[in-house]
Amino acid sequence: MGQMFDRQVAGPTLHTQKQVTKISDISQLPPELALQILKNLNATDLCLAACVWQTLANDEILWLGLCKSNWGYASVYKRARDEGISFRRIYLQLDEGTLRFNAGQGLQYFLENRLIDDVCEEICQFFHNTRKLRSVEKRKLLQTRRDILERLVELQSYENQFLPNALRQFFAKLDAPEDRNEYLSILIENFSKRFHECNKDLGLSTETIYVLCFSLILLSIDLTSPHVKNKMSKREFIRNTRRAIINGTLSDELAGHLYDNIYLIGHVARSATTAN
Amino acid sequence: MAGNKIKLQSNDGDTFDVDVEIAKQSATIKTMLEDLGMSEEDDVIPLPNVNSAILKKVIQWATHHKDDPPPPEDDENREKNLSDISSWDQDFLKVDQGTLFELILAANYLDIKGLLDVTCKTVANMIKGRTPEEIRRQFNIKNDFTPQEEEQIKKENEWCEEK
Repeated sequence: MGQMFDRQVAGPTLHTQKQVTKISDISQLPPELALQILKNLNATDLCLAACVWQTLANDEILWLGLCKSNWGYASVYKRARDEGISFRRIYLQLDEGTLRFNAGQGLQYFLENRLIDDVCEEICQFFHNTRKLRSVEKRKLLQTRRDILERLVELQSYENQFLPNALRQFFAKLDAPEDRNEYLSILIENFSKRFHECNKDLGLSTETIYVLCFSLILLSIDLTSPHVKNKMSKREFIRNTRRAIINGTLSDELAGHLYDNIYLIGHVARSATTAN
Repeated sequence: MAGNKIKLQSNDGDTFDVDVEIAKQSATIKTMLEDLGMSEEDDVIPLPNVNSAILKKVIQWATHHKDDPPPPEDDENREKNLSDISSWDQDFLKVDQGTLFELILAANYLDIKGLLDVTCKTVANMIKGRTPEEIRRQFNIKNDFTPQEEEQIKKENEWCEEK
């Protein structure tokens, strides 16, 4: 310490910096600070940096951070320490598994490599905590695994949300099917149940919510499809929807708000595959 | 309280008059003032790990950021964004590498999270998207691996190359 620093550090003093500079490389910093810097890198950059700073860039804490920022949950995380599996390896495997899943190969790689335990709850937590999986592929799986679908819907939270917004969020997460089919009915059934649980004080029954969801989907198609020439008016929507609800009542005011929401914000189920 | 100043002393003996509120962005100084009751006007806080040039920069940074909201807690699930450095900070950090590292050390010692974050990101940006050779050149690192060792290391880390 005590050495003189040139006061005009940013100025034309570049030639003299070698004599005054003490640290020129991150490996000369205290390791926790070097890690603080490397924490900002993605996996590819970290691998390249590992060719220069072998020990630093392979630090478990960096790879653990990368794993968790991409896949918030995986069954293998809690086993890693006991079984001596490095998080760098886990990252590479999760990445590979994700590529394969998104290419249509399902969960096989994740399960074979014990990244995810083959239990409904574990698979749900994995799905729920990552955005890396393509929703179309998730939908393919959920169509055959109703148990996972049900649990996954239970993990969603819709407290104090306006129905069309909650439905939009639901479809963004679970991807709407292209056609109106049995799977759509099952999705809506599960959603209605969950929305009812989250918003009991609204006084809307699960059945009413179910009917409203389909009303909202129909209205969405009506308002956004270029093939529909005569758009449903607000008055028509209110009348049709009120008629469709058998056991229960719907205020004109709420029905009007529902219409306005679709009119102003757009389709409730803009699927990744049917977008545009 | 408003307008109160304290004196900060660098390790090469210079003292700087600084607004208390500005100086308190340093959690280290804040603790000194609050826990140790160093609030008298003529108290001088010695900072044995920081020299004048760096202290001046740190004060300049803290003055510009005095009205910033407190930085968010670190969240490991948050995706890192290297491009969210304000243009003022970018200009401020256009310094030679030695100074940048000195600033990291000072930010860490003084415990100024915002400054530590932005300086670390700036260094990370110097690593991002570079090959190992370019990184070595950037940080003036001698490659002391034998060609065989080099080959081995490349192999171990080669997954990135195919991505």
